[in-house]
Parts: sequence; C-alpha cells; structure tokens
Amino acid sequence: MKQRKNLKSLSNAEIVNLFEQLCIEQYDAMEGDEQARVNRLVWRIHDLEMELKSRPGDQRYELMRLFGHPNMQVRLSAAEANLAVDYASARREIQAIKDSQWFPQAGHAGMTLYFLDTGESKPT
Amino acid sequence: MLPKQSLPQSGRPRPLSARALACHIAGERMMAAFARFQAFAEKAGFNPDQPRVPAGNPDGGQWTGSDGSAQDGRSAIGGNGGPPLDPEEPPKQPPKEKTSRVKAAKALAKRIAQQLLRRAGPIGALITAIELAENHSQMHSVRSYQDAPKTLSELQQNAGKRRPGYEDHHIVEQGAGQHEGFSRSQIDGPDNVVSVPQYKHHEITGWYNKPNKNFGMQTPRNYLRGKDWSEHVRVGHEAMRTFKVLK
Repeated sequence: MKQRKNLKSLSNAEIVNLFEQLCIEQYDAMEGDEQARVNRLVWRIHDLEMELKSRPGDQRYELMRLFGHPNMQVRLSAAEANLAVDYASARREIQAIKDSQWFPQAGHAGMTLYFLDTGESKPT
Repeated sequence: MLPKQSLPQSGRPRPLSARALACHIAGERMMAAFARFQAFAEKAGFNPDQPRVPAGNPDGGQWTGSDGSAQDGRSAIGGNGGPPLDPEEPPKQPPKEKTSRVKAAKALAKRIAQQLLRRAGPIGALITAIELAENHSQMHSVRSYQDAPKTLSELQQNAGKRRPGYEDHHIVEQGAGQHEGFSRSQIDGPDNVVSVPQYKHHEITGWYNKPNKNFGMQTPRNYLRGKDWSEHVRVGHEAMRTFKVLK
C-alpha cells in the first residue's frame, strides 16, 4: 500500500526501470525456489503495472520497450502486462518465450497461452 | 532419439541437413559422455551427501569422514587418528551454501538444455563437462533435467522408486486434493503419482504457487479450488506438457 502511494510521484520511465529491476529480482528468487520472495515481488510488479494502467490513456505500452530484454522474466512480465493493450504483439512475445524453452519462464508463458486459448483467461 | 525431419515454422516438414545431423550427433555424444561421467562417479562410491570441509579452510571442499575427520588424515597428528592440529572452524551456514549450490546447478542444467537445443559443438560440451564436475553433488538432478518428455505411463511406472535426481509429483496436488475432499486413495493412486525430474518438479510447483494474472492474481492452486477432479487433472497434465515432462 505504502509503495502504491509513492508510485504516483514516479515518472513512467522510473516505473519502467523499477519494473525491470524487480523482474530481475524475481528471476533470481525463482532460481533459488524462494517462493515467498517471488510472491512478494509479483505483487510489487503488479502494483507498478496497475499504476501505469491508471494513468491517462493506459500507459502500460511503456513496458513494451522491455520486449526482447536479455532477462526472460522481464520479457515475460512486460508481455503479460500488455495483453490487454496490444494483444498481437504481446502474444507474439509470449510465444517467443515459450519457444525459447528457457524454463521456468517458458512454462509460465506456455500456460498463459493455454488459458488464453481455452478462454479461461481474459486480458484486462 | 533422432528426429527424422525438422518442423519449420510453416509447419511443412523438411529433411534434416547434414549440418543439423552432425550437430545432433554431437549432442548425443555429449549426453553419452554425461552418462559415462555419472556412472564413473557412482562406481567410485561417490556420495553427494558425504560431509566436506567447509569453504575457507585450506582443505575446503575435501571429503571428510562421517565424524568430520579428514579422509586423508592430513589434519590429524601423524595421520594416526589423533586429535586435529587446528581448532575446528565453526560451520559456515550450510543451508545458505546448499541454496547457492542448488541455484548454480539449476543454472547449469538450463545451460546444458540450451546447448543441446542449439546443438552446441565439442567446445561447449567440454566447458559443460568441467562445470558439471564442479557441481557433482547435484549431478543426478542436472542430468534428469535433460530428459525428453515421457508418456504418462512411463512417468507413472517410475513413481515411488526414489531414483536420484527425480521426485514423485502428484498431478492433482496433495494439499489441494484434500481441500476438495478427494480421497487419499485417489490422491496417492497410481494414476495420480508420477516420477519427474527434480528441477522440473520445482518449476511446476512454482507455477502452481505464484499469483497469476490469468486468474485475477490468484495462484493456480487457488483458482482450482472447488473444481472437480477432472479439472485438476486437465490443468495438471497441461502443466506437465508445457514444462516438457509429459509427451
């Protein structure tokens, strides 16, 4: 909550930088099977995404500059954040992550595609 | 197993080129070398759980006896089983060391998988072999991570065998199953328990436990709560397929 309040004062560029940094931390936590840390980071990253979404015109497209990032978790989180903004581009990025077979992100990407295709997941 | 043809993005099959074939053979040779190394270590009586001298000591990393004495006797007076010459160092937070060892081994397992995917040449294989030797305590898990996806019956057949590098995985999760009121015999039944590579097991479990945008930030485990057995099985099978455990 505290973080959410402070996010208002950040520029889009600062949010994108923080998003990138937290995703890299999440990648590291996943490698170490630190589930509690992973989940805390997931929520912090989600807050950043929601902050961009709340800005006039939905500014989540700013995260698209992270497509193709060398860290697979940064790519995946940025792509998933953009499914409701630019479905085709985001889906292409998620498909590329799945095809890379760089796990576990490739697995998470594959499951996202599966649930999109079954209609159980609807991007918002 | 050697694929007869590769599938380009267009979906139209084309024959394997000579180069692709050579690369594939290199990959197979790397895996064979991997298996030989593992067999050699096992034959030599290698036990990854045997205690070792903590890092930071002059003998750091060397095997010790189960009582903590050095195997080659160098730290004992005259090697006659007397008291150690130097006072014992306090333990150096073994859990943390173990975490970083596992982390390094997982990174290596992934790199090997990527090398096999890219059909890396002999130099890549050599570097990998050196790194593998450095991570021998996790060797079984690094090796099992390279397994090709298997059929459901193959995975089921090996459940309960406690093979090194593998863990039993409940397709319908144990805890989740109890929430739904599924019977213990269903949960532990032969259809529901499969033997999967250890690191793959961690990856699948990690997916189940992580808040997921697809389910309004619920974890998949919570999303499945209240759903029937067949729904749990459907998602469980899909997860195993997507994480390349199940064919």
